[in-house]
Amino acid sequence: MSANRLKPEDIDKLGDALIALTHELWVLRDRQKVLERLLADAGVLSPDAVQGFQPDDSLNAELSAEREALINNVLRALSA
Amino acid sequence: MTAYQLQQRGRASIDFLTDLRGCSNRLEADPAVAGINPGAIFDYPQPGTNLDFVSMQAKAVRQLSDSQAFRVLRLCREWMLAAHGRIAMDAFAEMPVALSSALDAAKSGGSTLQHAPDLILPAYWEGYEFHRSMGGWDGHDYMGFVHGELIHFHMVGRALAGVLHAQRMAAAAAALCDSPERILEMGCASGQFTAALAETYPDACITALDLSPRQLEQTQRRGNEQGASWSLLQAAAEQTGLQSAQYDLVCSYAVFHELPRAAAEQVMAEKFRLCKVGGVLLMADVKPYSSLSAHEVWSADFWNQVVGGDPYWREYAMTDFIAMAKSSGFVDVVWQGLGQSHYPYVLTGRKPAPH
Ligand SMILES: C[S@@+](CC[C@H](N)C(=O)[O-])C[C@H]1O[C@@H](n2cnc3c(N)ncnc32)[C@H](O)[C@@H]1O
Repeated sequence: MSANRLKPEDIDKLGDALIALTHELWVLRDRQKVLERLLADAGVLSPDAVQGFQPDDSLNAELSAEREALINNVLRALSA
Repeated sequence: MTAYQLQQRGRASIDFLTDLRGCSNRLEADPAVAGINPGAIFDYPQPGTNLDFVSMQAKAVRQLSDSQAFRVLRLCREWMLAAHGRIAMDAFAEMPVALSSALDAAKSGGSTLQHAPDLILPAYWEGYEFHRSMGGWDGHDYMGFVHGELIHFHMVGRALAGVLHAQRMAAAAAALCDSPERILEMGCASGQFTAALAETYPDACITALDLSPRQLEQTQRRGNEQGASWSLLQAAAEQTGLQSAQYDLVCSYAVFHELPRAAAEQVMAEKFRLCKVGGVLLMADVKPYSSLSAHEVWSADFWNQVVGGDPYWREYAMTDFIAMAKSSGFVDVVWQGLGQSHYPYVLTGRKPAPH
């Protein structure tokens, strides 16, 4: 109903919140990717397996490409 | 270093910071940002000249107000400045509790640390969050580890693999000191330069000081893990309380740009007092504005002084350190950028015999 629920002075905080959300989203996506890898590799998930997992070069490269794409999507939305 | 592994959230967060920096850096190429040119008086400005930086920055900000690229770049960079300290502390918090005991144990060894509980901490330092790092140099029980490993090594070092250490090695070698017996380092923080000094001068006896006990503890761990016997002390570089004329080399890395001018003068005088006759002064630090084009001056000044949490950067970058070192008594004073990137800038000099 009402436009302008946020005031103009909130706009910087909105930008910060957006990046903070992007950060959280990335952390989750990273974690999910790790889980998928572990499940596929081992078939069984031990409690510490995800937490201490260190990606290998190939997974790192995949993560890196997806991470860049995510960041670029958000920056593109802000710059549109 | 005490063995540790980043856990999932911390590791993914540091990856995110690294790529956010990389992706947003590309916005610097935007014509409006790349085109900022504050004019000839800011082109390689002589140290010591009086320039109106406040008006220059105000004008640049007006010019950039229509640039979407600049607004997004600033949003990203200020977010990283505001967030990186918390991310580092969170990354520490999720590590196994055993790490704290391992870090405590790593303080035992050949390197000693002398605390100064009654030290009066300078107002420009105490409670200030340099680089907008949450907690400043001291604000966490394991701040030396959090800063030295998680911020310096993982966050800053990720994009600069190998470079940070190589720069310190080059600075240590630039001392032109054949085989110093006794070295004093001021402002050692978590011991990155201390390690480079030890590697360059393996026979030297090294003393290093800092205001921050938490940072000194990390230097102590580093020293112990290398089997070194460094003497570490909590002291102000302006007034160390150490005996005069004891050191063949008195040095610092990335400390002067965090000092107000008056403190810098005191530290320089203290370095002179502590040098043996014939001893060497070495001050390695960021680039002075005299080595930068007008556009680079605007950029360095904006991102460090104006928004970066480095309140004395501009004062440092415009100070005539050759004049300061000479007026403290040093001779053969040279100030130059090292290597192809001209970084760090290194000031060297020598203490002459009294006449
Ligand atoms: C950027 S860090 C130094 C980095 C380190 N030398 C290296 O190689 O990475 C600056 C350090 O100087 C210390 N410092 C600042 N002012 C000081 C003073 N007046 N006396 C002693 N230490 C000081 C700070 O506590 C901080 O640890």
